[in-house]
Amino acid sequence: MTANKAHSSLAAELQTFAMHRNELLGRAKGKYVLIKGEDVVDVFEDRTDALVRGYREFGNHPFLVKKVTDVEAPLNFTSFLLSN
Amino acid sequence: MPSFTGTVPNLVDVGPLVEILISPSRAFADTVRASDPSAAIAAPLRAPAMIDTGASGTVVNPNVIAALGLSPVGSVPIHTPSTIEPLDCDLYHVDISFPNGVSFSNAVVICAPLGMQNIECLIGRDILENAVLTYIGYINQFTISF
Repeated sequence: MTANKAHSSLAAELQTFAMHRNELLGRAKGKYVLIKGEDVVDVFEDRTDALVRGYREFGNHPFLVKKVTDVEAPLNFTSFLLSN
Repeated sequence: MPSFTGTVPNLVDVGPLVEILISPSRAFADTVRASDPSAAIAAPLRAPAMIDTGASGTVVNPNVIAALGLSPVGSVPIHTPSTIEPLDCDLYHVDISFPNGVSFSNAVVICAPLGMQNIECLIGRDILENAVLTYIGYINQFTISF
C-alpha cells in the first residue's frame, strides 16, 4: 500500500454533524440526516430518500448524508490494494 | 437468480477480476434531469474491478469518480493496513453493472486511490452481502449471483 493521504471534502458538514450529534441521537437515532454546510436539512428513514432530497435541493453539489449512530465504526480493508 | 461467471488465467496471481460498468445512479440522473432537462449526465464507464472479500466497502479510484462528474454525498472513516488512525474518505452514489446484465443500483462507494495498476474498483462486502460468491480455485473460475 502506498502512502497517499485522502481527506473528506465535506469537513464543514462533518463539523455540523458533530455539533448536532447529541440532539440528533435524541430524535433520529438510526435514521439518515441530510446536511449542507451548517444546515441540518432533514432526517430520513431511508438513505436513498435522503440522497434524492439532496439532489433536489442542491443538484450536483456536495452534501452530506450520514446515519445517526452513537459510534461510527471505521470500515476495514485488509488488503494492500487500497492506497491512503 | 441473475449471475455471471468469470474465468482468469490464474486466480492466485490476478484474483477475481471482472470488467464492470459504473455510472451515476439512476436516482441522481432522474432527479437532476427533472429540475434541469439539459443537465449533462456522464455515460457509464467501463472499469476493471476486483472482488475483494477483505474490503468492508466498495472502493472506486478518484479518476473514475472525476470522469463521472459526481459530487460527494457522504463521508466514512476507514482503516487500512497502513493507517494508524481512521481516515475520512468521501462517498459517492453510483450504479454498478456486472456482465450478463447483473446490476446493482444505489451503491454508495468510497473514493480512494487504488495502488495497483489495472484495477479501478474493489467490489466489497457491502455489495457482496446481497450475493452468492462461488470461488473455484482449481479451475480459475468464480461466479457471482444476485
